[in-house]
This record gives sequence, structure tokens and C-alpha cells, in this order.
Amino acid sequence: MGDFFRQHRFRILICIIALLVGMMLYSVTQEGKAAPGSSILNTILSPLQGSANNLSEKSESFLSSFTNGSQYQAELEELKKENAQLKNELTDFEETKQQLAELQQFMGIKEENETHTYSEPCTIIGYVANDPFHGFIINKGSDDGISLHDPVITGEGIVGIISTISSNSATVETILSPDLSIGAISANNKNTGIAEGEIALASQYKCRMIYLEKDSDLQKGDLITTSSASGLFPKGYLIGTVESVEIMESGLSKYAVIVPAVDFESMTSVAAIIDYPGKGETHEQD
Amino acid sequence: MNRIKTRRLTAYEKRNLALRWIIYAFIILLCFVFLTSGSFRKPLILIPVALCISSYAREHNAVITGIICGLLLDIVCNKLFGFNAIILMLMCAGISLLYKYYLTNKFLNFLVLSASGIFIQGILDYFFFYAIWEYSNVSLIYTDHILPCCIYTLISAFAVYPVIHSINRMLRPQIIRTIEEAVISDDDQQA
Repeated sequence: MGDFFRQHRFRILICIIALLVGMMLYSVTQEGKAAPGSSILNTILSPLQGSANNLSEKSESFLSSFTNGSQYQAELEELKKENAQLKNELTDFEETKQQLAELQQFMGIKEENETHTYSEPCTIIGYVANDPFHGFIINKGSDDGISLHDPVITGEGIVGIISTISSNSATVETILSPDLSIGAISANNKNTGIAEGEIALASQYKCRMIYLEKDSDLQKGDLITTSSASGLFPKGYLIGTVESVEIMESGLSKYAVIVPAVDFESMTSVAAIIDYPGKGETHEQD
Repeated sequence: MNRIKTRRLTAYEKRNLALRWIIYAFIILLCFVFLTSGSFRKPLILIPVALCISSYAREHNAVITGIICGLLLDIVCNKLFGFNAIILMLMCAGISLLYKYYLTNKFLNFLVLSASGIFIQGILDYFFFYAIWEYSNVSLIYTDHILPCCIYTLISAFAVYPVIHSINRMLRPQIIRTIEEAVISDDDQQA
């Protein structure tokens, strides 16, 4: 084996390692823009990802009808004959229905915020494998006008931001990630804080609002929306509902556990806010 | 140092060699598709696939396999582009050398090496992407996400080995270990 370390092959191996390290460092300096190699691979593989994910969603939906079967046993008995024939059609119909509902909600948001520019609805083509914070990949990228750190929403509320982008796909970092901090304000405009992800809560699809004042009157059920404090998000988009209010470990302030308005498990399409007044600017707390 | 000359491959063996690498490429692509689909927790099956292919390949082929699988893993896991490529490249090169000089192709050897590789990758992933950033409750990432993922990946190695092993049995030129076997093989060829 010692021979190997004296051969040209070993030197080539060292060169390859240096090349890969260089590529990694280059990726770091790109601040979220996909490295050229990654971009090429993404372009080649994204159609494959899309169709594979579509297939996976259909099979999950098909299988879930069996796992929930015990609850609907009586109904299933009646529909047994028709069920096998209609099952495939039903999964297609449900998917289309959900997409329609999402598009209707997007239209509502568009009418409410006329000064904001939205991307076309983006389909989720894949998920970041084993990501504790449930990141996902969408089928639109910089060619569609989306840029890095653009906010991502659904008709229900905010989802996250674009964390990596290539020409025809982008990765979304969700609000469940501790790397993402958003200026947040309660619907009654009395309580301000920062909404961010937390590892223990992320597995339950929840996040938290920190830096609440100790005398804050925030209660269970209160709605939390974005403030324009961070400059990352435009004001007024729903983040979620307060589930509980607790004292921080330091004892100096409170935090609220938030149930996001968006259902991360069932969403199939999202939209990016590609332009809005004050984009990129950091404002004083509203 | 005088090197032993290897005999030239026959056309049939060359065709088998090409076919073997086409099947490997297809398996790698299939694993990539599996990893990108669905939001459920999945084994990082590209790791045992890369390691198993390397155990049957020469060093330079193992290095290329490691880099390709690593880069694909970087894409599906949204990690720094090249991070897993370096780890897998080194592992694959190491495994290829170990099999060339010290080990025989036995399932137990593969399992031990795979387990080591999978857990090393898991620890490096945890350290560089979570632990050094000091998130609160960061250990939960290891216990709730990385460790189960490592276990799933190790379980997937049980399925990977028979597939790659069968491909090699069918399509790889047989390695002649003893003089007697070589004589018999030579007689067969002459016949």
C-alpha cells in the first residue's frame, strides 16, 4: 500500500482534493448562488426531481388512503366497488383542487398588496433530504425573476426565504430554521419581537417569537404577522398563531411558541415576492 | 521494480465492463431520484452505493465514483457543494486500496467499512453544519435526525451489497487467485 503514496496517482488525488476544497471555498464566496457545477447538475436533474417527487406524492396520497382506512371503514364498505377504479382519478382531483385553492389565495394576496410583485406560482419539485427544518426545492429560479433572499409565501402566510438559487430552481429555507430571523409583530400592534426557528420545535412544525417584553400581554390564539424590521420581509404577512407564551431561560424576556399559518406537510406550490417597497432596507422597528 | 503485465481484455470483457459501469450509473441516478422525492426521512443510500462500488473498483475509478456520489449528495442534502464529495472521495479511495492490498470481498468487511463511513460522514455533517454554530438544543439534531439517518443508511447497505455483488459476479472479469486456477482458465481459453 506504501507504493500508492509514491505513485503519480496519489499526487493526482491530492490535486483533486485541492480542487474540491477550492470549489467549496468558491461556493462559500457565492453567498447562496449555486456553484457552476451544482447549477449544471441542477439543470440536468431538476426535471427528474420534479417527476420523481410527483410520483412520490401520488403514492404517498394513495397509501395514506389505506393507513387512514380504519377511520372510514363504514364509508369504505359502501364504496368498495367504486374505490379501486376511482382511486387514481381521486388523487389527481385532490391535487388539482388543492392547487386551485392555493392559486385563489395567491390572487387574494395579490389584490391586497398591489405594490408587491410576485413570481408565478412555483411547484415544489423536491425536498432537502433529511433536513431537520423541512427545506425544499422549487421549479423556478433566477431566469424567472427570483433572486436570493426573496420571501416565499403561500396564500396562508409566509413560508421562508430563497437560500440557494440557480437559473431554473431554488432552495427555500423555511421559517422553522434557526438561521432565519424575521421581524414579527402581533396583530394588535402591541408586541414586537423576532420570529425564528428552534431545533426542538422544528420537528413539530412550529417556531417561536423571541425578545418579547416581560410585561407583554400576548396570549394564546393571537395572530403574528411580519413587521418590516429585518428588511427581509414586507410588512403584514401572516406568520402564525400563538400557541403558548413562556419565559426565556435567561429570565429577562418572554418567548411565544408559534404554530405557522402554513401547513408545511401538505403544501404543493408557493410564490416568491420578487419586489416590494423597502426591499433590502433595514427599518426601525414599526 | 518490475510490474506484472496484465493481459488485455477480450471484446466480450470490454463490453461487460462498459455494461457494468452503465448499470452503476443507472443505480446512482436511481438513488438520487429516491433521495429527492418525498419529505419523509430517508437513508443516504448514495454512501453505501459509492463504498460498495469502490470495493470492486480500482483507485481512480473509486475516486471518480466517490466524487460523483458526493456531489449528488451535496445537492440533495443542500450542503456546501463539495463537502460530501471530499469525504466520499477519500473514503472510496481508502476502501479501494484496502480491498486491493488487505481485504477480500466479504459482506462482513463491507458492513464494517460502511458503518464506519456512514457514521464518520454523520459526525462530520453534525459538526460542521450544526455543532459549530451553537444552536440551542443542538444535540437533538444528532439524536433525532443524524443518528436515525445513519441507522437507516446502514440498513440500506444490506440491500445495496447483494445488488452490486451480483452485478460484479455477472459482469466482472474473474480474478485468478491460484496458479492452478490460472492454468485451468488458460486451458479453457485455448479450447
